[in-house]
Amino acid sequence: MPEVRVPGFSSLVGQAISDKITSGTILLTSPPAGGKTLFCRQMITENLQNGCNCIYINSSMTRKEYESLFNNINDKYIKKLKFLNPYLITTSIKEPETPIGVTDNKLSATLEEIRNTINGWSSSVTDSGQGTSQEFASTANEALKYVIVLDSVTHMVTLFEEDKVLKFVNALSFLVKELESMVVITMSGNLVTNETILNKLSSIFDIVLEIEVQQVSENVKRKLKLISVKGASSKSASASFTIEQDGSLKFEADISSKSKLSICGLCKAPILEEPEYYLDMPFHHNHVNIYMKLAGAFGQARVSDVGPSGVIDAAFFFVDVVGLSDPALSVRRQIEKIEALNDMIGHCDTFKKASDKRVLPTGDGMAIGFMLSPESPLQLAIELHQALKKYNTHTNKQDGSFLDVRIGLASGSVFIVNDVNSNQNIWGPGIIFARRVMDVGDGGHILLAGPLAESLLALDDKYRSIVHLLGDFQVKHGQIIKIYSASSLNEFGNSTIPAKFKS
Amino acid sequence: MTKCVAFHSYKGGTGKSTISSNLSASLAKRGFTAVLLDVDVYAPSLQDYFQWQPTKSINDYLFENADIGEVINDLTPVLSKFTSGNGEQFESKGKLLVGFSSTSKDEIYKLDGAVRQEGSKIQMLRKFLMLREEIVSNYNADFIIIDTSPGIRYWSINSLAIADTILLSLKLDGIDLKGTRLLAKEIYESLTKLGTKSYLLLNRAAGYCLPPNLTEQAGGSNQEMYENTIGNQSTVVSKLNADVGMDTILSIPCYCDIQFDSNEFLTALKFPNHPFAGKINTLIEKLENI
Repeated sequence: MPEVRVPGFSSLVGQAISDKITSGTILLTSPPAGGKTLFCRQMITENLQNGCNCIYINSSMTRKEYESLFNNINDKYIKKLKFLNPYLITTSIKEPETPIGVTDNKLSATLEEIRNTINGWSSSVTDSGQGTSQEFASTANEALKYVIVLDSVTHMVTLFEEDKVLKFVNALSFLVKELESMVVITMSGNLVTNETILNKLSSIFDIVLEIEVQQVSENVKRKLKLISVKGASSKSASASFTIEQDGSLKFEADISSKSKLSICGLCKAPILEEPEYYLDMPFHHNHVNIYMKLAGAFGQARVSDVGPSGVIDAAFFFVDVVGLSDPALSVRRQIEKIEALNDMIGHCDTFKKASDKRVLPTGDGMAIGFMLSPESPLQLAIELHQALKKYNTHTNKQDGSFLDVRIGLASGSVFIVNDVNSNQNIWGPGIIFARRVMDVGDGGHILLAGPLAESLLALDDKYRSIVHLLGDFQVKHGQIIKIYSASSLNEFGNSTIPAKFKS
Repeated sequence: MTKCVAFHSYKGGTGKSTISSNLSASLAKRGFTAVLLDVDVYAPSLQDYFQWQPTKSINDYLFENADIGEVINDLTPVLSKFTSGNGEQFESKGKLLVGFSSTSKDEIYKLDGAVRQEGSKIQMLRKFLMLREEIVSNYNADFIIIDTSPGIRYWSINSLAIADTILLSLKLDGIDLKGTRLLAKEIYESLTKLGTKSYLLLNRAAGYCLPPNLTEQAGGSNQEMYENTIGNQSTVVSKLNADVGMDTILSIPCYCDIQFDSNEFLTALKFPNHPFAGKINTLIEKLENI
């Protein structure tokens, strides 16, 4: 099966993780002339060469300009690349035109054209190989990978109504999920200037990237920065790149592809030099011998039972401020709320005393991983609710000062990764699971994923009176999870059934 | 290159702390940088031995509550209390650095609890490996001497795994042959296959003094009884060496004056002409040549 690659991404997260991320929705922001169109070209060029089929959507480009931009594409790949300009697309439906001459029919037609194109590609594969099925997402799709590039949303909202563009972007996001493929969406400006749109779309982006441009003397320095992955913010991972004469992007030496995310089978820390291998596991040079000794003394299974890939289990606390993205709320008020939340968490005993924790700020909240105790996330949630209760005696809902949070708790595996500052960080299913659980709740809810709740209930009888089963819930990607709610009347939690459960 | 020596035993009370402390201080006296680590985390004794109250312990380091610099205590000035063999004020050319385990009950429970969870256990091991590596890189240590927990326990096995040389300390007045054989076969064998050197270190051996009443009861001469005892012991030790497949690096007699000194403290430095100091010097020479 073809592999989807994002230019420079392995420099940001390492080859191991880059290899795992082959589908999803990516947002790329860049200032004007930052190089995002050339980034898109690079993305398409590389993925065509990898065997993917690509669609390039640009509402400001004529076909001639498109052909000029992609004149680097070899003829043998050109049939696997489709260009669409939603503004110029013809529709069969006659609709009254808006003052700027377009309606959402053009966006619908664009979407239809994308589907038809993909069906055409997939049926050509089935025709030549396995049959004549014309059905969308047929088995042929399992052998195909698609890369759709929308360049850019910023220009599209100058031609189409913003809400309709956002719906179009959402539709693209769903489409690539169905196809297990990737869509890259670009925006001019940065995360701050695009805040309004981003707040509405934030949930669909799996990865957020930003091109940063700096003028140094007469030279322009460009950096591709990783802002977040799967909702977890990244601490300043970035990779410098240059734009070559032929328009291709050249990233700085890919240090990560060598060893950054080879995780030592003994100490579980990233290996920054060439790893040494034993039983197919990478090790630091000075650790392979110690690993072998420990394996001899403890037994192989007991030494390696945490896995060779740097995966550890932890319990997670995920919190966000309810309604922070409400446009009616001033930025000052938003900042006040985030700072108040940070301050309250920082003063909770559980937070202060937890010696082995990892904190990942998420913008409107944070994720905290506790390595040592499965009880810590719930204890922290209870303490935070008690602190909020005091805090909110001085606030009111009318002026927007009332601080309401929702909390998701889960346990699970995460990778230990080093960021570019060599700080140890974590991310993986454990954190994502906590976020999914949190997303189910409303203000005041403390929701727990089944495995964590059940381990607490088995651990201590005191949890039986406060942790209650809500039932099964289908979260993102059709995953069904058992959800519990922690509450105690007038003390913490929200004993009502979450609205999403009712619906 | 740093040499890492771990003192281990099957049972407690075999003299690991006393010998490792005297060895470390004597190494410093000889001009080496010796870092002594108390990894007998369940029953730490070096704080009491050195009468030192550290601000941060190895436990703090393992839980990432302290940096290496806060955990390693420079006890070189303690050595200046002693005189050299000719009565002159002793001047240490080397350094005696000591990392202590916490004696707090809560800290011991906490560490014990952490190693029962796989997620935190691996974090602890990672930090323990870093402890050794930071000592090597930050202090340019010539020797790391580890005083381990007795028996087959998580921290003692980890200590043995990071050591280049293991000294299995046992008392000749009460050898637990079964336990010693268990350690040798089940634990040391897998380590020595990968380059670790392991030796028996015999403590409380016969040969320092001759109990007078023993000769009266037996009716023989002092010298004869003495030689018989030494001979018997030699046979026992030879059998032990063959049985466990380990050589004896040193045999330390039962020095009554040390044994019954309630305040034994760095005897090898305090009495540099004492035969015990001679034994420690012999041990240093042997370790240098391994």
